[in-house]
Amino acid sequence: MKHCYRSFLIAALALAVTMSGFAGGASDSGGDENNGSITVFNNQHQIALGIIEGITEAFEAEFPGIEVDYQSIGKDYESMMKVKMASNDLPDVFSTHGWAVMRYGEYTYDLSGRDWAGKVKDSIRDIITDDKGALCALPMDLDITGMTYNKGLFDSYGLDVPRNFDELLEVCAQIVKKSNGTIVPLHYGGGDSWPIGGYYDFNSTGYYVSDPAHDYREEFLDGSFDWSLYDEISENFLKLKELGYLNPDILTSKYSDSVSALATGKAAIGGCYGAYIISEIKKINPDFEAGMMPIPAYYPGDDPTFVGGERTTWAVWKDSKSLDAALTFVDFFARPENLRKVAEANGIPAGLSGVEPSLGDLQSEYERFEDIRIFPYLDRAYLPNGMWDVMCINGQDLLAGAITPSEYSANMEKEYKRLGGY
Amino acid sequence: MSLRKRTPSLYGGIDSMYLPALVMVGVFIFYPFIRGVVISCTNWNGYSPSYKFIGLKNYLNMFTDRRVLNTVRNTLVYGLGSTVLQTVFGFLLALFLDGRLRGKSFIRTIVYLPVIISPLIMGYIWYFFFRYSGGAMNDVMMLIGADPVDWFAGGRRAVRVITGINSFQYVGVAMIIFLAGLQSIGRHYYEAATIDGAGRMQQIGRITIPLLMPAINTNVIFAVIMGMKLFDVIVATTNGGPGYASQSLSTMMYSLYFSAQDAGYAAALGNLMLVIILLLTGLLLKFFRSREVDLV
Repeated sequence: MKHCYRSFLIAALALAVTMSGFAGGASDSGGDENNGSITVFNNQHQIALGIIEGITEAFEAEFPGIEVDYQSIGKDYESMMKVKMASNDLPDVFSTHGWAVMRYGEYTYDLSGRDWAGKVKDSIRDIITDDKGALCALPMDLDITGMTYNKGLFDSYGLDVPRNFDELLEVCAQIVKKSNGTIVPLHYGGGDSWPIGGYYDFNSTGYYVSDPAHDYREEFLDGSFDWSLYDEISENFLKLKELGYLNPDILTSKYSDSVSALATGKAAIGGCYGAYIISEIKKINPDFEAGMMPIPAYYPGDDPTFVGGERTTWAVWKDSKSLDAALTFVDFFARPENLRKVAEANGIPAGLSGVEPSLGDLQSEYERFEDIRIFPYLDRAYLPNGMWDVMCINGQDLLAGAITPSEYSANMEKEYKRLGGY
Repeated sequence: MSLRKRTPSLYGGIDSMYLPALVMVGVFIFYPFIRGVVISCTNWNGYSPSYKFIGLKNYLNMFTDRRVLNTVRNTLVYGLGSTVLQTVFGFLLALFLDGRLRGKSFIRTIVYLPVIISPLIMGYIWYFFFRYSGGAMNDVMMLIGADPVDWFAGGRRAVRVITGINSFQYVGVAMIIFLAGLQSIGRHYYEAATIDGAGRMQQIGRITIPLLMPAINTNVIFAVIMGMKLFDVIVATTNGGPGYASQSLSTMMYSLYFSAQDAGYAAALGNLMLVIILLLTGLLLKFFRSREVDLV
C-alpha cells in the first residue's frame, strides 16, 4: 500500500510537471471568413487607439459572426508579445510596430495575395517584405518622421528650420536668447528612456548613413563597424546638454511632460517626436501651430533627412485557427475610408496608394519638404534585434554622467556582437 | 466480521490530502525553478525557439558587470533600508498608539491606509510629488527661495527616495505587528519594574524589546523580503533609471529579459537574488531567534 501511494504521488507530480511544459497553444476557435473568433493585440498611442477601436466596432457590426477579442496592451506590448512568441501562442492579428520582418517575420502569414497588396506604396513595401517575398503586414500608414516643433513660435522669432547641426545650435541659441531662457529649445521625456533612444535613432542617419563619405550601412550589417566612430554622436548629445539646450529634467521627465511642455509653449522642439504627438498636444492647446522639420544633417554638404518605415500595421499569425476571419478583419482595415482615418489620426500619409488623408498643419510641411530623403530607423534596418534598449538605457547613463561617450560606444559594441552573433 | 487495527501510515489517510498541494508546488515552484536554472546556462533571447548552452558564462559575467554590482548594492539598500525605517517607525508608532489616546483607532487607520493602495499607484503619487517640473516638493522649495531639485535624477538620491516611499507604504504593517506584540505583554511586568524603580526607557529596553523579539523577527523578515523584491514603485518613479542607477534585481531581471533580450542572464540574476535573500533571511532569523526570551 505504501508503495502504491508513493508511486501514485510521484506519477501525478511528474505528469503535472510534464504537462505544464505543454501549456499554451492557440484557442481552437475555427470558423470561416464570416464566422469565428479572433484575438487582436494593438500597441497604439491614445488618439490612433480610439480610431482603431472605432473601426473595430464598425467591423463587428458588419460581421456579427466574427467575435473580436480586442486588447490594447500599451507600453507592455513588446514584453507581452515576446512571451507570446516564446510560447508560440500569438494573437490572430497583431501590431508589428516596426518589426514586421526582423522580429515577427517567422510568425506572420504572407499577405501578398490579398486584393489590396498591389497598392502598398513602394517606400514601405521593401521594409515589410521578407527575403522570400512574403508581405508580412498591412501598412495602414507610412511613417515619415522628423522633429515636431512649434511653428508659431519659430515664425514669431523669425527662425527657419535648421538644415545641419551647426544651424541647430544657432537656432537653439536664438530661442534661449529671445525667450530670456524661459523656453527650452529641445525637449526629451528621457525618464521614459525611449526618447533618449530616439535621439540616437534620429540622428544616426546624419552621422553614419546619409552622407556618402560616411555611409557605414554595410559595416553595420556585416559586423565590421568601428564603434569608436559612435563616440561623436554621444559627445554632441552632451554638448547640447552642457549648452543648456535640453530640458534640465531630461533624466526624469516623461513623454507626457514633453507633450505638456510643447503645448504650453515651454519647449520649442520635440527632440525625437513625430507627427503622432501633435494630436496629443492639441488636446491641451487646440491653437498649437505644429510643424515638422527634417532631421538636421551632420556633415557639411550633406542634406537633412527624415526617418521612416512602419507605423500602424496589422499582421496575421500564420498558425491562427481563425485565419479566414483574421484576414477578413485585416481586409476591412485596408478599406480606403478606414486607412484615411488611421493616417489622419497619426498625421502621416497612408500606406496604400489611392488614399489621400487630410494632414492638417502638416500638409504644407510635407509639401515643403517633399524632396527630403527618407531613411529607415538605424536600429530597425542595420542593427541586430534588441539594440534599441541598449541605446536607450546607456543614453540615460551617459547624460547622468555614469559613463563616457567612449564607454557608451563600447557597451553598444558589446551588445551588438552578442545580439548579432558577430 | 473482523476488525483490523488501524495503524498510522505515512502514505495513508490524511497524507493523500497533500497531493493537490504537492502538484501545485511542483508545477508553480519546482518546475519553474529548474527551468530557471537551465535557462541561466543558455544564451536564450527570451522568445526564439532556439538557444545555445553556454555553461556558467552568465554567472561568471556577473562578477565583472558593473551594472550587477550596482544593482546588488541598490537591492540591499532597498531591503535593509526599508527594514530599518519600517521597524523603527513602526515600533515608535505602536508604542505611541498602545497607550491611552483619544482617536487612536483613527490614527491606526490613517497609518495603515497606504498598505491597501497598489504599489504602482503609490509610486505614481510620489512621482507627481517629487517631479522636477510642477512637483509639489519643488513648489514648496521655490516658495522658500530654494532652487528646484530633480529628485530622481541622481542615482543614489533616487534610491533613497524610493526606499522612503516603500517604507512609508508598509510602515503600517510593522505598526500592526508590533501592536499585536505589545498587547500580548502582561501589564504585571511593567508594574513589577515600576515598583523596582525602573524608568520608562529602562522598561522599553529590558521588557518591551526582549518580549517583542518574535514580532521584530517577523517584521524584519517580511520587510527584508518585500524590500529586496521591490519592483512596482521603481517602475512608477524612475523605471530603474537614470540608466541602471536605481535598478533593483527585480527590475533589472525584467529589463534584461524583455528589453535587452538576454533571458539567460536574467535567469542567472534571478538565482543570484534567491541566494542573497536566502542567506540574508537565514542570518537574520538566526540572529533574532537567539535573542528571543521568556520572562518568568
